[in-house]
Amino acid sequence: MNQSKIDNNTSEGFLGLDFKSIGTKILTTYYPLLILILLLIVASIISPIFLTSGNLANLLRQQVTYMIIAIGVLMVMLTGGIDLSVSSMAGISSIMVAYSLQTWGLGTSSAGLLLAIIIGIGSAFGIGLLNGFLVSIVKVPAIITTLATMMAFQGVGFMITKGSTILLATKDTGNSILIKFGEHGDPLLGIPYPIYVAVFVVVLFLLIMKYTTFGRLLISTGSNEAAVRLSGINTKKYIFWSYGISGILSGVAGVIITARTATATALTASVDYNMTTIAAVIIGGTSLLGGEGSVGFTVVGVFIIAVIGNIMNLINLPTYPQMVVKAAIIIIAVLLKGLTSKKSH
Amino acid sequence: MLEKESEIISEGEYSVASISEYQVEMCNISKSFAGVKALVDVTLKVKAGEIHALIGENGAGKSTLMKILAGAQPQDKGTIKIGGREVKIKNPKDGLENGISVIYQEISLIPDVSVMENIFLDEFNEKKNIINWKDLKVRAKKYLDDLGFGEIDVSEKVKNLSVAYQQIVEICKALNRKSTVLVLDEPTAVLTMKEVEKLFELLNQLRDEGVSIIYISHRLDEVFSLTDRITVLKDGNLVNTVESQSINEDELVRMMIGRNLDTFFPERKTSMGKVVLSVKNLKAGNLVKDISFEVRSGEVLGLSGLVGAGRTEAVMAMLGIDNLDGGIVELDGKKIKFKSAKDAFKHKIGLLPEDRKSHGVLLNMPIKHNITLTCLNNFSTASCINLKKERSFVNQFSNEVGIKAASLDNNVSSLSGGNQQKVALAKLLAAHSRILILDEPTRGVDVGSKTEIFKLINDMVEKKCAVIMISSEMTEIIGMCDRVIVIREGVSVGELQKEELSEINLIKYAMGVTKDESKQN
Ligand SMILES: Nc1ncnc2c1ncn2[C@@H]1O[C@H](COP(=O)(O)OP(=O)(O)OP(=O)(O)O)[C@@H](O)[C@H]1O
Ligand SMILES: [Mg+2]
Repeated sequence: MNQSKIDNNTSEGFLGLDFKSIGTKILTTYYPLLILILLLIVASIISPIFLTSGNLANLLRQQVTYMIIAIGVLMVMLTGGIDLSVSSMAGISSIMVAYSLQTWGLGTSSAGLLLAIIIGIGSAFGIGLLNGFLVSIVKVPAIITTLATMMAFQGVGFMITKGSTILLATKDTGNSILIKFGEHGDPLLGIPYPIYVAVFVVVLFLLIMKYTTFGRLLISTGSNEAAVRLSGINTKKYIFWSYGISGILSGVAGVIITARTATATALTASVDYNMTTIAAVIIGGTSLLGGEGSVGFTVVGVFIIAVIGNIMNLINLPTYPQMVVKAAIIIIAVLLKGLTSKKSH
Repeated sequence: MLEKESEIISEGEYSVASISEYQVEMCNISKSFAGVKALVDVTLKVKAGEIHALIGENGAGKSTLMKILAGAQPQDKGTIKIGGREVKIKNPKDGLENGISVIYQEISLIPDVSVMENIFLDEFNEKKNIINWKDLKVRAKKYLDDLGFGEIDVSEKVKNLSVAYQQIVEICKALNRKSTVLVLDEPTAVLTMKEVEKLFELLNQLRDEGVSIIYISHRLDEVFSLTDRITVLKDGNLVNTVESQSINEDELVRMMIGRNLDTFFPERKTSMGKVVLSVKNLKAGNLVKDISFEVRSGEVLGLSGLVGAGRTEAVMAMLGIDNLDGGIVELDGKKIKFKSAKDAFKHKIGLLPEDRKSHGVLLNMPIKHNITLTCLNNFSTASCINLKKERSFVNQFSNEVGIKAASLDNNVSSLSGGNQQKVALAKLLAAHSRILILDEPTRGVDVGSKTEIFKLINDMVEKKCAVIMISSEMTEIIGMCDRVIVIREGVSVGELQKEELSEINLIKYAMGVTKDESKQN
């Protein structure tokens, strides 16, 4: 064919580069990163404490659960869905781990601990699969499905704990291993173990999205479900499993929550995991319609919200105004996304 | 004619400046997208009361030029004059206010809203606050009747209409605007001869009323029969503007693609095998009443008929994508019922859907990922994609299909309409099915590329593939098919062998002129 490609030499300018278009490209694709860098600069100017290793380590440690959950939320949102039940799933996982360690006595051995973790993650996974089933097979809208499971399992959490806090007895072998995992760092670098988990999850999903057929078809499904289905691909499968993944990752976060606090409470389900992770995913440039978004930028999104929170803490802004600011930032992020994507058209 | 022309112009608000010979003057327009020059210094002048063809290969810049005229995209350089007066058209609203109405290549109706609401959408915006439903209904019906599409239900949601019917609704919507400049970007790509005739009657009438019509098409016969002058673009540059009378088809093709096109329909060695797929007395919905056909390996079977005859619906039901209400489907002589597109693909039956935008391509995904969607397993071991292999396959294959893109990493949405169609086709061909169902395979594809696509189809056929081709373009059906089944109002009414294929015969059957051949079983 004589007309297969337009060469790059059609553009003028220095070295054949079109700076205007490169500029827009950077702006449209990398804007979350630019915002984060800007925030880091602002933060270090506002507060001298910000750049101390103590503060940064703390920041990182706090974001572990958010990061893990956000990856799950991303998977769901890439298919064009939404998952409002992540906080409930994390809560159930956290409670089930503590409950089986404490009430069922699994905490006395390390094998028991393993089983307890499996029970915790498994129950969150189960809820995720229920979401997946309802959304992909029964075709209940995602927002309704996950709103319902959010409520239901918040209730279940209270039913299991009877409204009180489960305390882990620190002397039991299994329990102490778990608590040590949550609190301490590794002997080599002193990095807390949960951070390794988060890094593992992030890297794993970066690879899944880039190199596996599963990741490719999941995001394709979100891009145009009908077209993918008519290409002979079972799109329900990908929608179903995205909720399953969200369940597993929320479950993992639940285990970390129990490990860190040595307790479990039904209140975990009402922590801001839903709003914050969805916001992070959107700030990271993910389309609400599905088919667009990335693991890397989701992590950036998590840290954008975290740094803003950190700045507000450092300047001693009270909790309630913080909520207002966070909400405003979510709106701004969505607007910004709309603005930049319009430019690219 | 002249009288009418001046009448219209003096009615408009541009009467003062109407000394100019031209209604539309786009001068020295340039536009580039992220380094790709879509238009370079293009000038287009259209008279009042003229039908002006704008033609060129896929990606030549036709749609872009029209988007600029309509205000859907800004130009980088150049000026626009309407009725001799320079205007700034910054957004679609400015375009409408300047009397410019565009029927875009990609249908841009609101899918969840009824036909009549779509037609009168502009009015909702400007005029009354209370909608007179009865009036809307009557007026919508009138437009459709005038175009010969009384069968379209004005209260039906647009998303439930076939692509061709949606196109008709688009046309009605544009007609309702009573514009002075009407742009049609490949309006007939999914229409058959009969509907095209009606449309042309209407366009001729509008021309006589003094409207300037800009007409984009890849069907050259239309260009000759309809238009007064022709402007040819190539790779974003103006080639020339000529009188339609003063040029023949070969010269025009040479202007478009820069070379001669000796064989439009390439030769194919046919060696037919056994019947691989057959359907008997297919019934589905209210469009498919009694359709039967069979196709052999190594054969191209055409399904012909007017728009709305039920061709697309028949294959969709056959594949289990839509509900099948009755009839027998046999694969290799064994009865089968496909449950879904996935099921059909598992049996190596591939479908190229009619609706490119919503069923054919993933607009917001990279071109390369679109192409390999159906064949990811070929470069994957244990679900892990070998990106290098994938890339080299995509590079080679997109060349074969003739996809013209700045980079295969770009999203499909950045491609011209015809190139998007090639992506959809590439995606299907990459799956290596043994039965291919092609619904309007060359919709919006330029003449040069059509030949390339026919070659690809022939390659598949020579490899013993069976092909079912639905096409609104009669020349394509005649040139490519070994046998044709004509479908009229949901019933297969006739079968034509290769020797019998001619436009007259096809139309006769499609419109029910011959009575002797009744339903075949
Ligand atoms: N939004 C966009 N982003 C990037 N490139 C674009 C965009 N729109 C169009 N282009 C490029 O501009 C060129 C002209 O495209 P255009 O759609 O005008 O072609 P066309 O002549 O209408 O072709 P066709 O016959 O296939 O419809 C093509 O190379 C196309 O890839
Ligand atoms: Mg076009």
